[in-house]
Amino acid sequence: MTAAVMTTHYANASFLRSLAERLPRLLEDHTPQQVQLLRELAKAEFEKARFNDIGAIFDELEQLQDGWLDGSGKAPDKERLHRFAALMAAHFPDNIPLPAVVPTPEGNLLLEWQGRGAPSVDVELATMQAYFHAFDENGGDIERDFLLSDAKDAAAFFAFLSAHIQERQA
Amino acid sequence: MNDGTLLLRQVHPNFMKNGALTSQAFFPFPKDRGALSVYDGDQIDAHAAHEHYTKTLRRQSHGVWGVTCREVAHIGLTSAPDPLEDFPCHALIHFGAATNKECRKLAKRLKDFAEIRGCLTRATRP
Repeated sequence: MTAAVMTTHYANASFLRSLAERLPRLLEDHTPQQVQLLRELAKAEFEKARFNDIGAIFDELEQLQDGWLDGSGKAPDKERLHRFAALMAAHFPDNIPLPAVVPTPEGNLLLEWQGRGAPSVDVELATMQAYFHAFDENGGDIERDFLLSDAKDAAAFFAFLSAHIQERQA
Repeated sequence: MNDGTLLLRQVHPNFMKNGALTSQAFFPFPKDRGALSVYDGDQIDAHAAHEHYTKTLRRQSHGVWGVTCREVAHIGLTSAPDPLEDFPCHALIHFGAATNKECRKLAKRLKDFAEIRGCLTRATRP
């Protein structure tokens, strides 16, 4: 996928959302169904953009070979990487930005967001354990461990991110 | 080395995303057994350290970021010179027996300090 494709999906989503909001002023005989249709089209475009972005992140990680860190550094296991990428593609909430996703020398992943509290998630791919950490307003720690063993666990994990990271960025 | 000494950390390209530093840059490597390798900024400046790292040692570095010994001490860590035969300005930030979870929190604190200062070799970046 290319940057141009990603840009187009985001641009389409933005345009359609804006059009949905402005439709009542632009079209006197508009219907609520038309506004809803524009909103749904915008959501679909946004999801396509997100899907492409997540794909690009994991495509890059998949290229890593053992020794990527100046001779050390284990490459993430491809099958486990695919499994985590699939969970992100299926469940990642649309109300928070995508994190930076970087490899660790042990072959695991760090997900990290910019901004207040510096939220992060350490993902151990072999066990599918995820450790969330952020700083609270007083410099204390907010921590939570998750086990992403199935779709239900993953949905709970991403719902936590959605609520928590949205709250911290508000 | 004293409180004001700048400790220079080489950051691997994979630990930067879209030009932004991640805390992985300040997370000790497993091979370094709880210590973070840095250059002693009293002995070498950021550009020379980058040159040494990428050209003499032939390792990858996106850029050099720095924290002071005072900042390291402020978060409860220690730093000390660790001169090597062919690398006299080598120093270490010791994380002691910190668990991985503790290391993540400490790495974020170090990253915050380094971000305030900015990339010290920015001019060398394209």
